[in-house]
Amino acid sequence: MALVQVLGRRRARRGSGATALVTGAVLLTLLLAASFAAGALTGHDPALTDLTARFRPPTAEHWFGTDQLGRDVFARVLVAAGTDLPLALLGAAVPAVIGIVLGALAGYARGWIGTAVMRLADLIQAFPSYILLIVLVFLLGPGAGSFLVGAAVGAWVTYARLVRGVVLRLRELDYVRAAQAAGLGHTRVLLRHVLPNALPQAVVYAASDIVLALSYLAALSYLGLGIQAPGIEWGQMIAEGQPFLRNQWWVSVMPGLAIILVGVAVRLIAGGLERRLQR
Amino acid sequence: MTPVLRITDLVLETGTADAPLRPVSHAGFEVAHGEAFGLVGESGSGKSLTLRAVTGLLPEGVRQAGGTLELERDGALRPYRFAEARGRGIGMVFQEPMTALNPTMRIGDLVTAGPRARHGWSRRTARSRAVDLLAEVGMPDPAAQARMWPHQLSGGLRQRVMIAMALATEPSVLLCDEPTTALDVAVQDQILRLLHRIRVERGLSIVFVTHDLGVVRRLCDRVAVMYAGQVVETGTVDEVFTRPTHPYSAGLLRSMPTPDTPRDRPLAAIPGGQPGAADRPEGCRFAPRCAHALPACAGLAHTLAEVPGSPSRSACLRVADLGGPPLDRKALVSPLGGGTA
Amino acid sequence: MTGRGRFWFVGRRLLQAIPLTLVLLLLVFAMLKVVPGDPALQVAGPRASAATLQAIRVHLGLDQPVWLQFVHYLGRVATGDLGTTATGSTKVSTLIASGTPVTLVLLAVSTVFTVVIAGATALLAARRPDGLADRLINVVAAFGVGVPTFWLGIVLLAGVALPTGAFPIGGWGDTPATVLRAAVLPALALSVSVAPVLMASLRSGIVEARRSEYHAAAQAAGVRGWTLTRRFVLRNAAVPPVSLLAALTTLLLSGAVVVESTFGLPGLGLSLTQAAQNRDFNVIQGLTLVFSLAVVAVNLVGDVLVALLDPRVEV
Repeated sequence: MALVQVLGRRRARRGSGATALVTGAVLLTLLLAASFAAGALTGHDPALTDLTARFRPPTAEHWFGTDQLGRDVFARVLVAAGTDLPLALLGAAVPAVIGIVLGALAGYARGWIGTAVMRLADLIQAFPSYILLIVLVFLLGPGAGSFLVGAAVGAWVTYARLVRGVVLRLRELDYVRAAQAAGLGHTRVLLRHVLPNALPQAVVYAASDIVLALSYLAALSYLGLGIQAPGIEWGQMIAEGQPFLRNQWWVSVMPGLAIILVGVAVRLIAGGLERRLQR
Repeated sequence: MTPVLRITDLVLETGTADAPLRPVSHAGFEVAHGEAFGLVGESGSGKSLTLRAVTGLLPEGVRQAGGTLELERDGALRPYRFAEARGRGIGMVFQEPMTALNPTMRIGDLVTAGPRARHGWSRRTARSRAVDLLAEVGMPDPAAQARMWPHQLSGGLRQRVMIAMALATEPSVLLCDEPTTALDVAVQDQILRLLHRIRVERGLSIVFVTHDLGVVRRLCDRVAVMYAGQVVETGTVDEVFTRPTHPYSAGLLRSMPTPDTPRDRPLAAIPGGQPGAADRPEGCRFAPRCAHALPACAGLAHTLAEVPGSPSRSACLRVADLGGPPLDRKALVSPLGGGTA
Repeated sequence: MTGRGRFWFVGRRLLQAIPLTLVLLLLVFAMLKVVPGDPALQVAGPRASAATLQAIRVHLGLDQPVWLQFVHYLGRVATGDLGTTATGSTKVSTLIASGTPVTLVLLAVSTVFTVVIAGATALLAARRPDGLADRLINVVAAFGVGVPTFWLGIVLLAGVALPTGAFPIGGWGDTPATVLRAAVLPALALSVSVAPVLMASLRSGIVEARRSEYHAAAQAAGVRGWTLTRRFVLRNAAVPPVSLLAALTTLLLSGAVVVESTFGLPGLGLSLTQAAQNRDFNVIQGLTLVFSLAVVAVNLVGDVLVALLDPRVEV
């Protein structure tokens, strides 16, 4: 995961980042809002099968065409946003929380606990993420819950390293020693001093991890190990359309565009956040 | 005697084309055959940039906006192309032997990388040539050290490698950019002796850029003093060190400790600081800090003029009255004390 | 570093990999213990009597202490016995033997694509840092990382394979030529998400090398042209990416699992996803082991390569 973040952090760019931040946030909000009103917005019921209207190519009536059951692809893509976005957000947030806690633990607990946490982090980071994910889903059974567990197991490492680094740095600084001397407990020190220092970077990581979580979710569902029908999810839609690729490419291709759109929006948010924090 | 290298009216610019800054403006000097020439000044005076410009290796964002660079060939000075001058004619020794040697190359390969490609030497020829050069710069075990990596050597040995690398192109002028600043004092002395020996043995001309006046006095024949991007005085070391004709040179010399300087007395410092490229005053750039400044100094155009009764050239407006009668000059020189003479 | 030093470095690194391998074996073995359901019940079927179940447990060695089971497991792994598939028709080791070459070819071809794409774009971007080409490449790279590999595979199928007919719509080949042709599009889909990472690292390496004092010193000593680029830029710029190599190969391996499904390539990844869909425990366990060992090996090779390329690495 840290690898992907190498890209975004190349250099400080000009501008405050506010425009990028707002644009990205508006895009995501609109998409999420549209998912609740998909039927009204497109004029088609996303669940309505109409075998007389199968495989209509994209037109003004059906923007993204219709699928093998005559369902409107655009409406389904919008509805799927209601599954994909919340799960991707959760898939980024859960490991962040776990990683922050474990990182703080590893930073404060010298000795074997800290070592064990960091060795575990090494082990997980060295492992191909999709394989880890698939094995976990196999053990837990397919579904949104397994995806969340898998995402959490894979992605907490970055945060743990970050927070541990901050803790190790801060505990050498005078004001933490002074705070401890003044009788503040570890929890207070953590909340007052460590978190405020680690949080900005963690937020940037979490923002870009949304893309990663989304691609995990979509890939799992694409492989039939994630969201199952009647749930609607982009990766699952792509898989459903693949047999009809020869003449009805839109069934598979259109949901992918939604994933890319989310990717762009998230990148804007992460980039904007980073620039704001650098100032 | 024809000079071997002459720099005239060098102008270096940074920043945008419509609002350029000039870290160096109208700097110039010439170096004679076999001569050791010192270019001195505080950091920020533009001396290192000037030296870099001679080889065309300016840092990113700095460009040459004017000036003539000439090298002696067949008995006459001719403008040169950098690519040509670097391969032969001009060699350069960099300040930091830690960063100036490619960490991924063995010493032997590094030393002869330039001439090897140019002359199409075989690996064997290049290696044996490298060992010869390493021996010449006093490496204790040249054959073994040719097979070592830069990080395995001490700072002093690395600087010797750097010198060998510069000598590999058989230059007639060796440019040395603060060659001893990064080294321990004991090692500094060895490197200076080495450079002196090479100069004598090879009949090289050497240009030293340094802020260390002691180095200049020990090694150099002539010197140019730079202040805020300009050469303010030039002359023989003997003359400039005993009878400086520019108030800045005089101040610089006063701030140098000598064996006679009482330890309990603080060194004399020139009040104020050198202006940066963005906030240089009109006219004489030293005038705001100068005890002898006149109103006319603010309108002075920079030229290096002959000094009456002195072989030096100076940019000071008051050379005639400050440097003229012996008494006046004494007033300016006396604080240096006899020790510098 | 002398030749002897390198030899010892490799040896020590090999020794260090042993405990890690044991930990991985233990984890893979432990999968059996956390998987829901009674293995004996799965073998015997739901209507088996308690006595039959017990007999099967004894037969499978499940009545023995856990540590002894682990020792037996190690013994089986050492002899290449990873059990059979759920249908009992195929040995897991046979499955792995047939899938490995497919996945290896896919990884090799996508590594070539990744290096070529990343190298070319990095050189182009580094020519003028922050110039137009650099910024454009950076935007495209950031975009490329976010494109789902399997979706890109589908787009390549629909946009390239189907219209041109130059590549198979899926499946593998049986001659070197057909194998390579079958690998091109999936490898390309894989590279697009990995190349940006390598590109970013290479680009900053090249820019840094060009700004370095040793680059200036080499120029001052008359080094120029291709010698300068090769020995004073590329060689130095290659050090950080080579240390990324293990991580990049792991990324490729991870992506291969998904892309093999898209293109129906009969590799290890396809076996893994199919086994997960069919809940085929032995296959999952065997493949997890293979992937774990592959990761250990890749990291080992990566470390050795860095040591060979950068003489400053501690021996």
